[in-house]
Amino acid sequence: MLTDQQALRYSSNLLIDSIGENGQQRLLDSQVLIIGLGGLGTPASQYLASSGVGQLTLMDHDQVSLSNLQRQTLYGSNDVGSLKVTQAAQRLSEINPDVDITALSQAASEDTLRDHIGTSDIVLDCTDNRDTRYLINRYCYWLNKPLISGAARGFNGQVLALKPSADHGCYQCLYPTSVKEPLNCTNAGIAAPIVGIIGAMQALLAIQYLTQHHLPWGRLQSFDGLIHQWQQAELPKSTTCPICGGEHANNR
Amino acid sequence: MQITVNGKPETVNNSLRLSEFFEHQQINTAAIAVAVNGVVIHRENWHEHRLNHNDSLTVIQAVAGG
Repeated sequence: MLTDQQALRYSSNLLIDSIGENGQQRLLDSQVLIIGLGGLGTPASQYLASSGVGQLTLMDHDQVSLSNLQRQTLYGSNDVGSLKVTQAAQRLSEINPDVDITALSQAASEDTLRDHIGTSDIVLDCTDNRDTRYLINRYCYWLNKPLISGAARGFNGQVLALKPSADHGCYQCLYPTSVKEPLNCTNAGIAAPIVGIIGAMQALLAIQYLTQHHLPWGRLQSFDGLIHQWQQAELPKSTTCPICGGEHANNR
Repeated sequence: MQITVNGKPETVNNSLRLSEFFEHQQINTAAIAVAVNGVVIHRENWHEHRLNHNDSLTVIQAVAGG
């Protein structure tokens, strides 16, 4: 049962038939793990907090640097040198004190992922490197947890919703470890609104999932910000994938 | 035969394999995913997947930043 304050705060959600009071209550009862509080994680966390997701767990070991401020919208000049999760937790609490925020100043590792993926309803991969992405994908599949993977570089952004129990492929089917990407946000640059768009998409997909709507599971959505076009591609399982496909699929 | 690559028309040899297409076009495949008619073709199948007339190829650059 929503309080009067909550009914006001979330009135725009309540007015949408496809969220309504039931959907809002589901959001308030949900727990989302956001891994990476950079360009993707900051907008995603803002929308999830403001929408009233009850519990947010933020995982990032990094500190705010001056070059982050171009795109990482939760931080200001005075935050340089501070832990991202500490500053993000404070800002998100100011946006919405309803939200119970856990700030973990830890890198994503086998131990931290095992501990925190299991207790979440859904996981957002907002990290900045492929090794961590493989690890998150592996643990989400192992623990059977839905994963919203976002990524960006330059004027390109991609988002992919994965449901381990479904028939589609996983992150490692899309990009097997033989894929060598020479550039990342640090050495190739990123147009700030691109991470905003993709981070907002990740938040949207999470809200849709938590309010029991159908998601485009296993469909890569790729945005080219220079020509303003989205491309979509269905991702089948690779029979040789060590995570989700074939006889070698892992330890489920 | 005619195909499209990221929306642009291309003329290619009949029954060209996907791997041959990349070689002909000198596309660096180190960090791409590719879809034919909206379905991702896995890397291990590129050498056997034959393209058909009117196929629509989507070449997607891998990105991992955030």
